[in-house]
Order: sequence, then C-alpha cells, then structure tokens
Amino acid sequence: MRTWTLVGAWARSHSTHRADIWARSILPMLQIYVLIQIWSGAYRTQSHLDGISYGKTVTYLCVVNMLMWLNQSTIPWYVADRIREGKIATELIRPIPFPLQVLSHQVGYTIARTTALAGMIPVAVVVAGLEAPATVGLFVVSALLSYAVSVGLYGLLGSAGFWLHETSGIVWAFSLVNAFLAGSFIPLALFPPGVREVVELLPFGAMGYTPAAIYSGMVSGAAAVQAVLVQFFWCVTLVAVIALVWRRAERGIVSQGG
Amino acid sequence: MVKVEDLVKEYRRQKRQNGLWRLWSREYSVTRAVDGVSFSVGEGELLALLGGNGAGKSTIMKSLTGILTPTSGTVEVAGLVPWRQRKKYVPHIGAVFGQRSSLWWDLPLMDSFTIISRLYEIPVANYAKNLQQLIDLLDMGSFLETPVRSLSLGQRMRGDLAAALVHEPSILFLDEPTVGLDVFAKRQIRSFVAEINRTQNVTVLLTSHDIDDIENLADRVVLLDRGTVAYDGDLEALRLRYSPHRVLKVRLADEAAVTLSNDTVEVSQSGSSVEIAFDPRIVSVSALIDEINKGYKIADISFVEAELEDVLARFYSRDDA
Repeated sequence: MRTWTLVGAWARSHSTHRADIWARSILPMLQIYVLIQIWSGAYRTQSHLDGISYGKTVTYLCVVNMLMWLNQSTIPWYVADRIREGKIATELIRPIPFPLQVLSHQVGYTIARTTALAGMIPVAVVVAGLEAPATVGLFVVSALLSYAVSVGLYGLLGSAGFWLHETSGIVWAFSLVNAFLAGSFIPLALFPPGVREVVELLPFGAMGYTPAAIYSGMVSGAAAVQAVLVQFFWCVTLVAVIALVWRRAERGIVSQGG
Repeated sequence: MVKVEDLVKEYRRQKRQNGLWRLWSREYSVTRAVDGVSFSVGEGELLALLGGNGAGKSTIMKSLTGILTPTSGTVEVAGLVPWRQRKKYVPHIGAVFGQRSSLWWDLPLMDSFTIISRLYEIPVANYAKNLQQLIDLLDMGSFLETPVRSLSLGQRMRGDLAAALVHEPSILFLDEPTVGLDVFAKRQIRSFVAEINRTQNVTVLLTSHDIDDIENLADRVVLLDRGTVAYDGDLEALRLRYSPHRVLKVRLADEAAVTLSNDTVEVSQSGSSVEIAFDPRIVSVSALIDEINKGYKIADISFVEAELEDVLARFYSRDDA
C-alpha cells in the first residue's frame, strides 16, 4: 500500500514532463524505421530468412524496440544521484526500505512512459506494418517478466554505485551490449548457431527478445514456454542477488558531502 | 532521550595515486571522523552540535538518524538503536538535512505532505489537524499548491521542516537548517523551531554554522573538535571559559588620554572613543565606570558582551588545538 503511494507519486511527478516523454519516444521509432530499411535489403532476394518471413521480422523489430524503450531503467542514475548529492539520507529515514523506494521510482517512471504508446503503436501499425500478436496471454506474461529482469539487472548496476564513485560509463557500456544481445537489431533466432544457444541462456534475451519473439510467432509452443521459464529463472536469481548486495551496501553506506 | 557513548566512526578512503597504476592498485587510508564521542540529550532539550568543518558533526547526525553504522560505540535514541532497528525507529524521528530536500520536486508542496502522511500511515484526522497547525506556524498557506521546484529557498526549507514533522516525531534532527537563507527566513525558522520545542516538547538536535541560530535556540552546546567532545555545557560558561573579556565602550566629551589604576584592563583609544577590555571576574563593571566617571567627562557609554563568533574563533585557535 505504502509502496503504491510512492509509485503513484512518481508517476504523477514524471507525467509533468509529458512533452519530454513524447520527444524521447521519437528515438525508438527512428530506430525501428532504420532497422526496417536495413532488413528490407536482406529480404530483397528471398521471402524467408531461416524460415522467418519479412512480416514477422518487421513485427518483431517493432515490438522488441518498443519494449526495450519501455523497459528502460532509471535505477543506476537515481541511485548515483542520491549518493552523489547525499540526498540518500532523506530517503533512508523514510519508513520504507530504500530498494523499494528505488523500485517505486522506476515503476512510476514506466507508468508515465506508457502514455506515449498511444502514439507509438498506431505509427508502428500504419507506417511500419506491425501485425497482431501470435499469442496474447504468454506474450503479456513474457513482457512483464522482461520488465522484471530489466529492473533486476539495472538494479544490480545501480547497487554498484555504493562502491564505485562513478557508474555512468559502466551503465552506458552495458546498455550498448544489452541492446545487441537482447536482440534489438537482430533477432536471436538469426544469430549463428552455437552463439545463439549461449546468448539465449543469458539474461539479455529475457529483456527483449523473448516477448517480441513470442508476439511475432518466431518462437511458439514448448520453446516459448521454455523461454518464459528462463526469464522466470533470471527474475528469481536477480532478486536474490540484489537482496544480498543491498544487505552489504546498507552496512557501508557513505553518502557524499557534509 | 538520546544516549551516545564512545561513538567511533572510521572511514576507509582509497588513497590517490598517480598514473595508470591506480586503475588496478588499491590502497586505503583510514580517517577517524568521530573518535570516542559521548553525550546525552534529555527529553524536550534543544542541543546544538558545534564544530568546524570536518569536526564530525554530520557523521554524528547520520549515526543518530540510523543512516550510518558506526565503527564502535553505542547509540540509543528513544530506547532504540537507530541503525539496527531502523524500521521501528524512523517513525520517532524527523530530520532536515540542510539543502537536501525530501520533497517531490515536480509536484505541488501539498502533494508531498499527503504522500508523506500515507508513507507513515498517519490517521486522517490527526494528519489534518497537525498539518493545519504546521501550515499556520510556518505561514505556508500561499504556496501549498505551487510545485516545489518553483518555491524560493526559504519557502522550500519551511516545506521541508513541515515534512519532517507531519508524523509528529518526538525528536527532530536539524543539520544546517538555515544555510543559504536570508535574515527574515532564518528568523522565521528559528522561531518555529523554538516554538515546537517549547509547546510540543519536541527534542531538537541542531548543527549549524550560524552563530545566531545557536545563540537564539540552544540551551546547551556540545563543541566538537576533530572528532572528540571539547566542551559540553551551556553557552554562558563557554563564553567565560574561552572569552572572559568584556568590552566597555566609552565616548568622551573631550579627547583626554585615559589611564586606569587596574593594570589587568586593556585600554585602546582613538580620539574621544575609548575601548576598555576587562575580565569581569577580576574587575567589576561598576568600579570601572566609577573610576572613569570620576576622572573623565563621559558623553556616551555602552557595554559589549563577547561575540560567540569570537569565542569560537578563540576556541579553535587555542594552544592545544
């Protein structure tokens, strides 16, 4: 209940920057446009690539990039900012554990961002050719899990802020690797055999590829269920690791300044 | 209410090294920010922690609010160990950390109060009554609906003070509450703190560099010096100990050169204005005035207490420092 109060507060707080959210939504749309241009080149001479149709690839690219945009995390910046400015003091004395406050901020931010989907989805359907989902139920579960894995991984990066004075370099590098390994540019299904199997087991695919592949029908049936289970595994693992890390961080907190 | 015994806090800091070597070599140095501090604060007391930069004030405040885990020593506030029983502890305390606001930047001030009341699960009736009182005392009625980012610093500080008190804590920690404020805003905040301390019996622990804050608010001061308690007592005794001199300012009707019988007084004169520094424990004021009155024509006379700022400056520059 108290956590929801905070989520609501942050959602309202971020919604005051609606223009900024809409402006930021242009970037993934541009990325989708550029990627479709590139992929249409690959499909010029053949209707299917590894058994995947052009339509499926376009749908996949739209979904994966919109999801990755929606899953974007504020956590490392939020934590770093709190530590650097010493503001963490004011939040540590609140009757809610700090990690829950960080999570509330993230969820509030995402809620404020979902409003931009109202513009993004119609554009993706009309301009790019986004198709209807192959399955709805499993996609929704997978999309929610992708969010949880994303929050977990960025949460872990955020915790590094307690030990390192500057995390922005690591976060940028991580985001770049993440975008590639989560399948933002190339679906993991088209990765070379050998590489693909390994990457599919890493948490990156769980953040974007899995739900987008289920939506577009690139992955279905038992393989889809298995992919969702991998996502679930990462969720549980990350929550456990973060709990451990936070317990250590709590003991050594040093907020900067004064 | 507050009991601190042998509090020690050491910080481990990475040593700065030159060149690329530092990327993979780690050497640490240990700094003792607080070195065996003990003091206690009674219920309803208003205590100021004083000390220069790096004296350990903030570290003590952070240990008392449960943000920092000390290296050793014990702290008990309201019968609880702040950093160990944080969840049970935080409803008892309110805190304002100088410039670091606890309000929601983009939302109207009123929203921050509502959010905080829900976080502390304050019953609606209590909240409404308490908030109204805070709004009146801090004169916040005119800017309750203004987003925090558009408030002036003085308004925001008042908002932060109210936010720290919405849940009716029994102890209030104020770390530099008036830093950066104009004279009027400072006064407003001081009189508010004095008021809640007096009428609601809220125990207040204050750190400040502002001498007026301390002179106007604190019953008792704890003076810190490089992590240890150098003085614990009331202001008057501190004045006497570190700055026993008082100054008698005399303006003469003529420009007669002043000489006095007691050689412990220091006379400095420029034309008709004379400043006489004396120790009231050795020379009584009345005897001094008598002597001047008999020997010279006085146009005006005034008596100056030692400024706390001078007292502190003397304290920090004392021989054993």
